[in-house]
Amino acid sequence: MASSGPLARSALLLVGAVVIHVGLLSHMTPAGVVIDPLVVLAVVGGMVGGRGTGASFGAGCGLATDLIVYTPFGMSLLVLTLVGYLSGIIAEQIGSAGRIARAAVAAALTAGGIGLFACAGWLLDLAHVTEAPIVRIAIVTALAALVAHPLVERVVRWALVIRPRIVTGREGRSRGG
Amino acid sequence: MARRAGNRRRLWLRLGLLVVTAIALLTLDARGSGGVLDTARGAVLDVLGPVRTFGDWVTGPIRDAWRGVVSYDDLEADNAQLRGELAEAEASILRVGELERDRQELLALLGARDTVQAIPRITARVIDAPLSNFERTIELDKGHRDGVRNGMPVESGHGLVGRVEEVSANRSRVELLTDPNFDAGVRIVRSGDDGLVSGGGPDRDLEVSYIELETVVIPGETVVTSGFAGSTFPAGLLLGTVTDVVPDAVRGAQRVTVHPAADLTRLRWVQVLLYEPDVPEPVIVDREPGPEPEPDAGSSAS
Repeated sequence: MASSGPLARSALLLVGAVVIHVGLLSHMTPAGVVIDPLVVLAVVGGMVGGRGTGASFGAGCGLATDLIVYTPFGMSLLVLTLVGYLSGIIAEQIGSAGRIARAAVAAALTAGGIGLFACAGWLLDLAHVTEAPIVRIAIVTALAALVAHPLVERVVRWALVIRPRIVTGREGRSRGG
Repeated sequence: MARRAGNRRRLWLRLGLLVVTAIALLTLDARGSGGVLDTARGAVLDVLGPVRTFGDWVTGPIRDAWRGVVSYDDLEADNAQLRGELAEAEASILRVGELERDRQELLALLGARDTVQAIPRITARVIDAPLSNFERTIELDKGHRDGVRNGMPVESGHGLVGRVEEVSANRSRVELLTDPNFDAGVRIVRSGDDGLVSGGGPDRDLEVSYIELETVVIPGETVVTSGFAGSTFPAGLLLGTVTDVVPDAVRGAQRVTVHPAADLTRLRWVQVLLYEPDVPEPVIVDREPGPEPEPDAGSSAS
Protein backbone atom coordinates (compact mmCIF):
# COMPACT_ATOMS: atom_id res chain seq x y z
CA MET A 1 0.00 0.00 0.00
CA ALA A 2 2.87 2.31 -0.76
CA SER A 3 1.56 4.03 -3.87
CA SER A 4 -1.68 5.96 -4.19
CA GLY A 5 -3.24 3.29 -6.46
CA PRO A 6 -3.87 0.68 -3.79
CA LEU A 7 -4.84 3.37 -1.32
CA ALA A 8 -7.51 4.84 -3.60
CA ARG A 9 -8.76 1.40 -4.60
CA SER A 10 -8.88 0.25 -0.98
CA ALA A 11 -10.83 3.38 0.00
CA LEU A 12 -13.25 2.74 -2.85
CA LEU A 13 -13.64 -0.88 -1.77
CA LEU A 14 -14.32 0.15 1.84
CA VAL A 15 -16.93 2.71 0.78
CA GLY A 16 -18.57 0.06 -1.41
CA ALA A 17 -18.54 -2.45 1.45
CA VAL A 18 -20.09 0.08 3.84
CA VAL A 19 -22.86 0.91 1.33
CA ILE A 20 -23.60 -2.81 0.82
CA HIS A 21 -23.58 -3.32 4.60
CA VAL A 22 -25.88 -0.40 5.31
CA GLY A 23 -28.18 -0.73 2.31
CA LEU A 24 -28.50 -4.48 1.98
CA LEU A 25 -26.87 -6.74 4.57
CA SER A 26 -28.28 -4.93 7.60
CA HIS A 27 -31.77 -5.59 6.23
CA MET A 28 -31.22 -9.26 5.43
CA THR A 29 -30.36 -11.10 8.62
CA PRO A 30 -30.08 -14.90 8.31
CA ALA A 31 -30.78 -16.50 11.70
CA GLY A 32 -31.07 -12.98 13.12
CA VAL A 33 -27.41 -12.24 12.42
CA VAL A 34 -26.12 -9.15 10.64
CA ILE A 35 -23.31 -10.31 8.35
CA ASP A 36 -20.47 -7.82 8.72
CA PRO A 37 -18.58 -7.68 5.40
CA LEU A 38 -15.79 -5.58 6.93
CA VAL A 39 -14.63 -8.45 9.17
CA VAL A 40 -14.42 -10.72 6.12
CA LEU A 41 -12.55 -8.01 4.21
CA ALA A 42 -10.02 -7.57 7.03
CA VAL A 43 -9.37 -11.34 7.10
CA VAL A 44 -8.98 -11.65 3.33
CA GLY A 45 -6.88 -8.46 3.24
CA GLY A 46 -4.44 -10.05 5.69
CA MET A 47 -4.41 -13.37 3.84
CA VAL A 48 -3.79 -11.74 0.47
CA GLY A 49 -1.46 -8.90 1.43
CA GLY A 50 0.47 -10.37 4.36
CA ARG A 51 0.67 -9.21 7.96
CA GLY A 52 1.78 -5.59 7.34
CA THR A 53 -0.75 -4.81 4.64
CA GLY A 54 -3.30 -6.85 6.58
CA ALA A 55 -2.87 -4.66 9.66
CA SER A 56 -3.28 -1.46 7.62
CA PHE A 57 -6.20 -2.79 5.61
CA GLY A 58 -7.81 -4.18 8.77
CA ALA A 59 -7.37 -0.75 10.39
CA GLY A 60 -9.23 0.80 7.45
CA CYS A 61 -12.04 -1.74 7.86
CA GLY A 62 -12.12 -1.05 11.60
CA LEU A 63 -12.29 2.70 11.17
CA ALA A 64 -15.15 2.31 8.68
CA THR A 65 -16.98 0.09 11.19
CA ASP A 66 -16.39 2.57 14.01
CA LEU A 67 -17.95 5.31 11.92
CA ILE A 68 -21.24 3.44 11.46
CA VAL A 69 -21.61 1.33 14.61
CA TYR A 70 -22.21 2.74 18.08
CA THR A 71 -19.71 0.60 19.96
CA PRO A 72 -16.88 2.54 21.65
CA PHE A 73 -14.93 4.41 18.98
CA GLY A 74 -11.64 2.65 18.33
CA MET A 75 -12.81 -0.82 19.38
CA SER A 76 -13.37 -2.08 15.83
CA LEU A 77 -10.17 -0.35 14.73
CA LEU A 78 -8.23 -2.26 17.38
CA VAL A 79 -9.89 -5.62 16.73
CA LEU A 80 -9.76 -5.55 12.93
CA THR A 81 -6.14 -4.33 12.91
CA LEU A 82 -5.22 -7.40 14.94
CA VAL A 83 -7.45 -9.62 12.78
CA GLY A 84 -5.72 -8.39 9.61
CA TYR A 85 -2.28 -8.87 11.14
CA LEU A 86 -3.02 -12.36 12.50
CA SER A 87 -4.61 -13.39 9.18
CA GLY A 88 -1.34 -12.39 7.49
CA ILE A 89 0.64 -14.58 9.87
CA ILE A 90 -1.70 -17.56 9.36
CA ALA A 91 -1.57 -17.10 5.57
CA GLU A 92 2.24 -17.21 5.73
CA GLN A 93 1.98 -20.49 7.65
CA ILE A 94 -0.38 -22.22 5.24
CA GLY A 95 1.65 -21.08 2.22
CA SER A 96 0.26 -22.04 -1.19
CA ALA A 97 -2.92 -23.77 -0.14
CA GLY A 98 -5.68 -24.57 -2.60
CA ARG A 99 -8.78 -22.46 -3.15
CA ILE A 100 -11.07 -24.47 -0.86
CA ALA A 101 -8.50 -24.59 1.92
CA ARG A 102 -8.02 -20.81 1.69
CA ALA A 103 -11.78 -20.29 1.91
CA ALA A 104 -11.99 -22.60 4.92
CA VAL A 105 -9.14 -20.77 6.66
CA ALA A 106 -10.81 -17.42 5.89
CA ALA A 107 -14.04 -18.73 7.43
CA ALA A 108 -12.23 -19.92 10.55
CA LEU A 109 -10.39 -16.62 10.88
CA THR A 110 -13.65 -14.72 10.47
CA ALA A 111 -15.16 -16.73 13.32
CA GLY A 112 -11.99 -15.98 15.33
CA GLY A 113 -12.40 -12.27 14.54
CA ILE A 114 -15.92 -12.33 15.98
CA GLY A 115 -14.52 -14.07 19.07
CA LEU A 116 -11.83 -11.40 19.39
CA PHE A 117 -14.51 -8.73 19.18
CA ALA A 118 -16.40 -10.45 21.99
CA CYS A 119 -13.20 -10.59 24.06
CA ALA A 120 -12.66 -6.85 23.53
CA GLY A 121 -16.27 -6.25 24.61
CA TRP A 122 -15.68 -8.33 27.71
CA LEU A 123 -12.50 -6.38 28.55
CA LEU A 124 -14.37 -3.10 28.09
CA ASP A 125 -17.31 -4.46 30.13
CA LEU A 126 -19.85 -3.98 27.34
CA ALA A 127 -22.87 -6.04 28.34
CA HIS A 128 -24.51 -5.78 24.92
CA VAL A 129 -21.42 -7.37 23.37
CA THR A 130 -20.91 -10.16 25.89
CA GLU A 131 -24.62 -11.00 26.01
CA ALA A 132 -24.90 -11.28 22.23
CA PRO A 133 -25.22 -14.83 20.81
CA ILE A 134 -21.52 -14.97 19.91
CA VAL A 135 -21.45 -18.58 18.70
CA ARG A 136 -24.39 -18.07 16.34
CA ILE A 137 -22.92 -14.82 15.02
CA ALA A 138 -19.51 -16.48 14.48
CA ILE A 139 -20.99 -19.49 12.66
CA VAL A 140 -23.25 -17.47 10.34
CA THR A 141 -20.54 -14.92 9.51
CA ALA A 142 -18.00 -17.70 8.92
CA LEU A 143 -20.40 -19.47 6.56
CA ALA A 144 -20.92 -16.21 4.69
CA ALA A 145 -17.13 -15.80 4.47
CA LEU A 146 -16.80 -19.34 3.14
CA VAL A 147 -19.35 -18.73 0.38
CA ALA A 148 -18.18 -15.23 -0.53
CA HIS A 149 -14.43 -15.94 -0.33
CA PRO A 150 -13.68 -16.37 -4.06
CA LEU A 151 -15.33 -13.07 -4.91
CA VAL A 152 -13.94 -11.20 -1.89
CA GLU A 153 -10.43 -12.49 -2.58
CA ARG A 154 -10.61 -11.28 -6.17
CA VAL A 155 -11.87 -7.85 -5.14
CA VAL A 156 -9.23 -7.48 -2.41
CA ARG A 157 -6.48 -8.49 -4.84
CA TRP A 158 -7.74 -5.78 -7.18
CA ALA A 159 -7.83 -3.21 -4.38
CA LEU A 160 -4.36 -4.03 -3.06
CA VAL A 161 -3.00 -4.39 -6.61
CA ILE A 162 -1.75 -7.91 -5.97
CA ARG A 163 -1.68 -10.19 -8.96
CA PRO A 164 -3.13 -13.66 -8.55
CA ARG A 165 -0.46 -16.25 -8.01
CA ILE A 166 0.33 -18.00 -11.28
CA VAL A 167 0.49 -21.76 -10.80
CA THR A 168 3.37 -23.15 -12.83
CA GLY A 169 3.00 -26.30 -14.85
CA ARG A 170 5.17 -28.37 -12.53
CA GLU A 171 3.31 -27.07 -9.44
CA GLY A 172 -0.03 -27.69 -11.11
CA ARG A 173 0.98 -31.23 -12.08
CA SER A 174 2.27 -32.03 -8.59
CA ARG A 175 -0.93 -30.67 -7.06
CA GLY A 176 -3.08 -32.60 -9.47
CA GLY A 177 -1.14 -35.72 -8.57
CA MET B 1 19.55 -10.90 7.24
CA ALA B 2 19.77 -7.24 8.32
CA ARG B 3 17.14 -6.34 5.73
CA ARG B 4 14.81 -9.01 7.11
CA ALA B 5 15.26 -7.70 10.65
CA GLY B 6 14.56 -4.16 9.41
CA ASN B 7 11.37 -5.33 7.69
CA ARG B 8 10.24 -7.08 10.83
CA ARG B 9 10.93 -3.96 12.90
CA ARG B 10 8.89 -1.85 10.45
CA LEU B 11 6.00 -4.32 10.67
CA TRP B 12 6.00 -4.16 14.46
CA LEU B 13 6.21 -0.38 14.33
CA ARG B 14 3.22 -0.19 12.00
CA LEU B 15 1.19 -2.56 14.16
CA GLY B 16 2.20 -0.68 17.32
CA LEU B 17 1.20 2.68 15.83
CA LEU B 18 -2.20 1.37 14.78
CA VAL B 19 -2.85 -0.24 18.16
CA VAL B 20 -1.80 2.92 20.01
CA THR B 21 -4.10 5.00 17.76
CA ALA B 22 -6.99 2.65 18.50
CA ILE B 23 -6.37 2.80 22.26
CA ALA B 24 -6.11 6.61 22.12
CA LEU B 25 -9.47 6.79 20.33
CA LEU B 26 -11.01 4.38 22.85
CA THR B 27 -9.74 6.54 25.70
CA LEU B 28 -11.09 9.72 24.10
CA ASP B 29 -14.47 8.06 23.62
CA ALA B 30 -14.55 6.66 27.17
CA ARG B 31 -13.69 10.06 28.67
CA GLY B 32 -16.66 11.56 26.85
CA SER B 33 -14.41 13.93 24.93
CA GLY B 34 -15.25 12.33 21.61
CA GLY B 35 -17.37 15.24 20.34
CA VAL B 36 -15.56 15.22 17.02
CA LEU B 37 -15.95 11.45 16.75
CA ASP B 38 -19.69 11.66 17.46
CA THR B 39 -20.06 14.44 14.91
CA ALA B 40 -18.20 12.32 12.35
CA ARG B 41 -20.47 9.35 13.07
CA GLY B 42 -23.57 11.53 12.82
CA ALA B 43 -22.38 12.95 9.50
CA VAL B 44 -21.68 9.48 8.09
CA LEU B 45 -25.10 8.22 9.19
CA ASP B 46 -26.77 11.27 7.67
CA VAL B 47 -24.99 10.62 4.39
CA LEU B 48 -25.91 6.93 4.51
CA GLY B 49 -29.48 7.65 5.64
CA PRO B 50 -31.02 7.58 2.16
CA VAL B 51 -29.16 4.33 1.41
CA ARG B 52 -30.65 2.78 4.54
CA THR B 53 -34.13 4.04 3.74
CA PHE B 54 -33.85 2.78 0.17
CA GLY B 55 -32.55 -0.59 1.38
CA ASP B 56 -35.44 -0.83 3.83
CA TRP B 57 -37.92 0.02 1.07
CA VAL B 58 -36.43 -2.52 -1.35
CA THR B 59 -35.95 -5.40 1.08
CA GLY B 60 -39.09 -4.77 3.18
CA PRO B 61 -41.48 -6.83 1.02
CA ILE B 62 -38.91 -9.66 0.73
CA ARG B 63 -38.43 -9.75 4.50
CA ASP B 64 -42.18 -9.65 5.11
CA ALA B 65 -42.72 -12.49 2.64
CA TRP B 66 -39.92 -14.52 4.24
CA ARG B 67 -41.36 -13.91 7.71
CA GLY B 68 -44.76 -14.97 6.37
CA VAL B 69 -43.32 -18.26 5.10
CA VAL B 70 -41.06 -19.01 8.07
CA SER B 71 -43.35 -17.95 10.88
CA TYR B 72 -46.78 -18.63 9.40
CA ASP B 73 -47.86 -20.65 12.46
CA ASP B 74 -46.70 -17.90 14.80
CA LEU B 75 -48.60 -15.32 12.78
CA GLU B 76 -51.75 -17.43 12.93
CA ALA B 77 -51.40 -17.83 16.70
CA ASP B 78 -50.71 -14.09 17.06
CA ASN B 79 -53.79 -13.34 14.97
CA ALA B 80 -55.99 -15.51 17.17
CA GLN B 81 -54.53 -13.96 20.32
CA LEU B 82 -55.05 -10.45 18.95
CA ARG B 83 -58.68 -11.21 18.11
CA GLY B 84 -59.21 -12.37 21.69
CA GLU B 85 -57.50 -9.29 23.07
CA LEU B 86 -59.57 -7.05 20.80
CA ALA B 87 -62.78 -8.59 22.13
CA GLU B 88 -61.59 -8.06 25.69
CA ALA B 89 -60.53 -4.51 24.91
CA GLU B 90 -63.91 -3.69 23.43
CA ALA B 91 -65.59 -5.02 26.54
CA SER B 92 -63.45 -2.91 28.82
CA ILE B 93 -63.69 0.36 26.87
CA LEU B 94 -66.71 1.51 28.84
CA ARG B 95 -65.04 0.71 32.15
CA VAL B 96 -61.85 2.51 31.08
CA GLY B 97 -63.89 5.54 30.07
CA GLU B 98 -65.41 5.71 33.51
CA LEU B 99 -62.02 5.31 35.19
CA GLU B 100 -60.56 8.03 32.97
CA ARG B 101 -63.31 10.43 33.99
CA ASP B 102 -62.64 9.64 37.66
CA ARG B 103 -58.92 10.18 37.11
CA GLN B 104 -59.45 13.53 35.42
CA GLU B 105 -61.68 14.65 38.27
CA LEU B 106 -59.08 13.59 40.84
CA LEU B 107 -56.31 15.35 38.93
CA ALA B 108 -58.41 18.48 38.75
CA LEU B 109 -59.05 18.26 42.48
CA LEU B 110 -55.36 17.87 43.18
CA GLY B 111 -54.55 20.79 40.92
CA ALA B 112 -52.28 18.54 38.93
CA ARG B 113 -52.08 18.49 35.18
CA ASP B 114 -51.76 15.47 32.96
CA THR B 115 -48.17 16.02 31.98
CA VAL B 116 -47.83 13.03 29.69
CA GLN B 117 -50.77 14.07 27.50
CA ALA B 118 -49.60 17.67 27.43
CA ILE B 119 -46.13 16.81 26.10
CA PRO B 120 -45.77 17.52 22.37
CA ARG B 121 -44.59 14.56 20.31
CA ILE B 122 -43.56 13.65 16.81
CA THR B 123 -44.08 10.41 14.97
CA ALA B 124 -41.00 8.72 13.52
CA ARG B 125 -40.46 5.72 11.31
CA VAL B 126 -38.25 2.93 12.62
CA ILE B 127 -35.47 1.74 10.33
CA ASP B 128 -35.56 -1.86 11.45
CA ALA B 129 -32.01 -2.83 10.57
CA PRO B 130 -29.29 -2.91 13.22
CA LEU B 131 -25.88 -2.27 11.67
CA SER B 132 -24.13 -4.60 14.08
CA ASN B 133 -24.81 -7.72 16.11
CA PHE B 134 -23.32 -5.94 19.09
CA GLU B 135 -25.68 -3.03 19.53
CA ARG B 136 -29.29 -3.06 20.62
CA THR B 137 -30.54 0.24 19.33
CA ILE B 138 -33.11 1.23 16.74
CA GLU B 139 -32.76 4.06 14.28
CA LEU B 140 -35.43 6.69 13.60
CA ASP B 141 -35.87 8.83 10.51
CA LYS B 142 -36.18 12.02 12.59
CA GLY B 143 -33.31 14.01 14.02
CA HIS B 144 -32.09 17.34 15.35
CA ARG B 145 -33.89 19.31 12.63
CA ASP B 146 -37.22 17.85 13.78
CA GLY B 147 -36.64 18.85 17.38
CA VAL B 148 -35.32 15.50 18.65
CA ARG B 149 -32.70 15.81 21.40
CA ASN B 150 -30.59 13.38 23.40
CA GLY B 151 -32.42 11.69 26.26
CA MET B 152 -35.96 12.21 24.96
CA PRO B 153 -38.39 9.36 25.71
CA VAL B 154 -39.68 7.20 22.87
CA GLU B 155 -42.90 5.21 23.08
CA SER B 156 -45.07 3.06 20.86
CA GLY B 157 -48.83 2.90 21.12
CA HIS B 158 -48.45 0.32 23.88
CA GLY B 159 -45.78 1.75 26.15
CA LEU B 160 -42.27 3.04 26.64
CA VAL B 161 -39.70 1.85 24.08
CA GLY B 162 -36.53 3.60 25.26
CA ARG B 163 -34.71 6.91 25.10
CA VAL B 164 -32.91 8.81 22.36
CA GLU B 165 -29.21 8.12 22.65
CA GLU B 166 -27.65 9.85 19.66
CA VAL B 167 -28.99 12.52 17.35
CA SER B 168 -27.72 13.71 13.98
CA ALA B 169 -29.39 16.19 11.66
CA ASN B 170 -31.95 13.80 10.17
CA ARG B 171 -31.53 10.61 12.17
CA SER B 172 -31.57 9.48 15.75
CA ARG B 173 -30.75 6.30 17.62
CA VAL B 174 -32.83 4.95 20.45
CA GLU B 175 -31.49 2.90 23.33
CA LEU B 176 -34.11 0.22 23.96
CA LEU B 177 -35.30 -0.32 27.51
CA THR B 178 -34.07 -3.92 27.33
CA ASP B 179 -30.49 -2.70 26.83
CA PRO B 180 -28.37 -3.68 29.87
CA ASN B 181 -27.17 -0.06 30.09
CA PHE B 182 -30.72 1.30 30.31
CA ASP B 183 -32.07 2.44 33.68
CA ALA B 184 -34.88 4.69 34.83
CA GLY B 185 -36.83 5.57 37.95
CA VAL B 186 -40.16 3.72 38.08
CA ARG B 187 -43.21 3.45 40.29
CA ILE B 188 -45.36 0.43 41.02
CA VAL B 189 -48.79 1.95 40.61
CA ARG B 190 -50.82 0.11 43.26
CA SER B 191 -48.37 0.43 46.14
CA GLY B 192 -46.82 3.70 44.99
CA ASP B 193 -43.35 2.35 45.76
CA ASP B 194 -40.46 3.69 43.71
CA GLY B 195 -37.59 1.67 42.30
CA LEU B 196 -34.99 1.60 39.59
CA VAL B 197 -35.61 -0.42 36.43
CA SER B 198 -32.77 -1.75 34.32
CA GLY B 199 -32.65 -3.70 31.08
CA GLY B 200 -31.92 -7.40 31.19
CA GLY B 201 -30.63 -7.84 27.64
CA PRO B 202 -32.34 -8.56 24.33
CA ASP B 203 -35.57 -10.59 24.50
CA ARG B 204 -35.44 -10.58 28.29
CA ASP B 205 -37.68 -8.92 30.84
CA LEU B 206 -36.69 -5.87 32.87
CA GLU B 207 -35.67 -5.90 36.50
CA VAL B 208 -36.78 -3.42 39.14
CA SER B 209 -34.57 -3.03 42.19
CA TYR B 210 -34.86 -1.12 45.50
CA ILE B 211 -38.42 -2.28 46.22
CA GLU B 212 -38.65 -2.80 49.97
CA LEU B 213 -39.29 -6.28 51.38
CA GLU B 214 -42.43 -5.09 53.18
CA THR B 215 -44.10 -3.84 50.00
CA VAL B 216 -46.72 -6.19 48.61
CA VAL B 217 -46.17 -6.56 44.87
CA ILE B 218 -48.49 -8.82 42.89
CA PRO B 219 -47.81 -10.18 39.38
CA GLY B 220 -49.93 -8.31 36.86
CA GLU B 221 -49.46 -4.92 38.48
CA THR B 222 -48.72 -1.92 36.28
CA VAL B 223 -45.35 -0.17 36.39
CA VAL B 224 -44.91 3.40 35.18
CA THR B 225 -42.07 5.92 35.15
CA SER B 226 -41.77 7.89 38.39
CA GLY B 227 -40.50 11.15 36.87
CA PHE B 228 -38.16 12.19 39.63
CA ALA B 229 -36.67 15.68 39.37
CA GLY B 230 -33.97 15.62 36.72
CA SER B 231 -35.17 12.30 35.24
CA THR B 232 -35.27 12.16 31.45
CA PHE B 233 -38.77 10.65 31.65
CA PRO B 234 -41.96 12.39 32.76
CA ALA B 235 -44.06 10.66 35.39
CA GLY B 236 -46.72 8.22 34.25
CA LEU B 237 -45.28 6.63 31.09
CA LEU B 238 -46.42 3.02 30.92
CA LEU B 239 -43.47 0.62 31.19
CA GLY B 240 -45.04 -2.81 31.61
CA THR B 241 -46.52 -5.29 34.03
CA VAL B 242 -45.01 -7.28 36.90
CA THR B 243 -44.42 -10.93 36.02
CA ASP B 244 -42.39 -12.18 38.97
CA VAL B 245 -41.39 -11.11 42.47
CA VAL B 246 -38.46 -12.65 44.36
CA PRO B 247 -37.49 -11.44 47.84
CA ASP B 248 -33.74 -10.94 48.21
CA ALA B 249 -32.97 -11.07 51.92
CA VAL B 250 -29.27 -10.36 51.36
CA ARG B 251 -29.97 -7.03 49.69
CA GLY B 252 -32.98 -6.34 51.88
CA ALA B 253 -35.13 -5.68 48.84
CA GLN B 254 -37.33 -7.47 46.33
CA ARG B 255 -36.30 -8.33 42.80
CA VAL B 256 -39.29 -7.52 40.62
CA THR B 257 -39.39 -8.71 37.02
CA VAL B 258 -41.37 -6.60 34.57
CA HIS B 259 -42.50 -7.50 31.06
CA PRO B 260 -42.41 -4.47 28.73
CA ALA B 261 -45.80 -3.33 27.48
CA ALA B 262 -44.39 -2.40 24.06
CA ASP B 263 -43.48 -5.18 21.63
CA LEU B 264 -39.88 -4.24 20.86
CA THR B 265 -39.50 -6.82 18.12
CA ARG B 266 -42.10 -5.32 15.80
CA LEU B 267 -41.62 -1.59 15.86
CA ARG B 268 -42.50 0.26 12.67
CA TRP B 269 -43.64 3.64 13.97
CA VAL B 270 -42.93 5.27 17.30
CA GLN B 271 -43.48 8.62 18.96
CA VAL B 272 -40.71 10.78 20.33
CA LEU B 273 -41.89 12.84 23.29
CA LEU B 274 -40.33 16.29 22.95
CA TYR B 275 -39.76 16.34 26.68
CA GLU B 276 -36.83 18.05 28.30
CA PRO B 277 -36.76 17.76 32.08
CA ASP B 278 -36.45 20.78 34.32
CA VAL B 279 -32.98 20.14 35.64
CA PRO B 280 -32.59 21.72 39.08
CA GLU B 281 -29.99 24.45 39.39
CA PRO B 282 -26.71 23.04 40.70
CA VAL B 283 -25.95 23.99 44.26
CA ILE B 284 -22.60 25.75 44.38
CA VAL B 285 -20.78 25.14 47.61
CA ASP B 286 -18.20 27.75 48.48
CA ARG B 287 -15.22 25.73 49.64
CA GLU B 288 -12.76 28.62 49.87
CA PRO B 289 -11.15 28.70 53.27
CA GLY B 290 -12.68 31.45 55.33
CA PRO B 291 -11.32 33.11 58.44
CA GLU B 292 -10.87 30.79 61.38
CA PRO B 293 -13.88 31.01 63.71
CA GLU B 294 -13.22 32.62 67.05
CA PRO B 295 -12.89 29.93 69.70
CA ASP B 296 -15.97 29.95 71.85
CA ALA B 297 -14.78 30.07 75.42
CA GLY B 298 -18.05 28.67 76.74
CA SER B 299 -18.23 25.69 74.42
CA SER B 300 -14.56 24.85 74.79
CA ALA B 301 -14.97 24.89 78.52
CA SER B 302 -17.84 22.47 78.33
